[in-house]
Amino acid sequence: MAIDSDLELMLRVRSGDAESFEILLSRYRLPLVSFFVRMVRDRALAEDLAQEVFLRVYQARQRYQPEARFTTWLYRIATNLALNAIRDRKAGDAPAVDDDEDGAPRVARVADTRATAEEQLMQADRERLIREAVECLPEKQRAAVILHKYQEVDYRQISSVLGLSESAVKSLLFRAYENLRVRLEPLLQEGKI
Amino acid sequence: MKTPKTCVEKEQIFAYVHHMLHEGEAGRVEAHLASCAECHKIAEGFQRLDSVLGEWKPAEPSPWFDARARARVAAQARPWRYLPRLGWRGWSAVAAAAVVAMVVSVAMLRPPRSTHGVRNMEATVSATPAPRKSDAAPAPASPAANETSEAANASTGPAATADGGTATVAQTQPATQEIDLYKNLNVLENYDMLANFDVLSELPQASSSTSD
Repeated sequence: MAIDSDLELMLRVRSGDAESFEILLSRYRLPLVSFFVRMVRDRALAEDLAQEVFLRVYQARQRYQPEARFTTWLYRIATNLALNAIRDRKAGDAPAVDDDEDGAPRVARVADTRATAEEQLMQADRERLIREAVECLPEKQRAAVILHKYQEVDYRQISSVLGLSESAVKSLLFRAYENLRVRLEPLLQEGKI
Repeated sequence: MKTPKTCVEKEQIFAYVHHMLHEGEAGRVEAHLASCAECHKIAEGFQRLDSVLGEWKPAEPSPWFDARARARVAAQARPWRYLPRLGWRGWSAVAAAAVVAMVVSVAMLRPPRSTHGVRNMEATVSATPAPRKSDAAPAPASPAANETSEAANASTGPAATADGGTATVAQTQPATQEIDLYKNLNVLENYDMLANFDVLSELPQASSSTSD
């Protein structure tokens, strides 16, 4: 049985097929929640924003035009929501909820059952360093890196999502990765040993 | 081995590592990396960074995520937003039909007060039996029926209409009509029991006070 493409599913959603919407929900809930957790860190806010994306997809189903890839449209909605949430938080001066600040990650992660407790602690510490490095990036660099590295969105798609030219996205990604390389130098050196 | 003058830019190396170059450019950078240790080292650095970044694992959605997402979508999916577009003529016809339906239902459901009035008069005010034609028009569902009912009221006595009759009978009539109305309703079969309710228990007093 062939797996339905996102585009086919969305066209069926447009014609009122609730089951196709359920498939899209199950297909993109993990990527979207992960995207938002990485973008805004606050898990409750991340889930709220991910739900908002699905709601907006549903609301806009009648206007959906299969011109671009479904994921481009999906991540455009998601990125706009995330950037607005970051700006709102800055404006409100509300501190981000740190999921790992008490040492015990509250964010349920895809578990690696093979790792020992000590390895898990070390891994949690490395993840914290990576997360902090990504969070230090300017908003658009952060969005570009998260889309590129973690959501596996092609740089051409990122240019559509962020409304930039392809060459601008290449430069944006290069600057972002260079910043990360500098900030994560200790981890990179560890990896060499 | 290092040849700084012919080295490719760092951004080109980055683009090569992340597969952002066209075939020709990628081939040129690849050839250079094979001969330049410094640039090769830079490329390895980007690859290692990519690997390290991969250690940041994704967050799982909470178990109630789907239910909440569905609830939010369901809350927004109001059926009236997707009603067919009928145009102003279509909606005018729908509105007219709704008004007609409302008028007809109000006329049908209206309590047959005039008929009860006649029955009350039969029971309490007048000893003279009312003409049977009042029973032939049980509800004022049509103008003809109303006329018949009014004619029956007029024939039963002065209290049946406001424009004639004595004041005593006119004051007594509403209370007695009200009591008889409740007695005659099917749902109030056990009047004595229901008379214990506050509102209904006041009715006999009202009737006695008015009859006094």
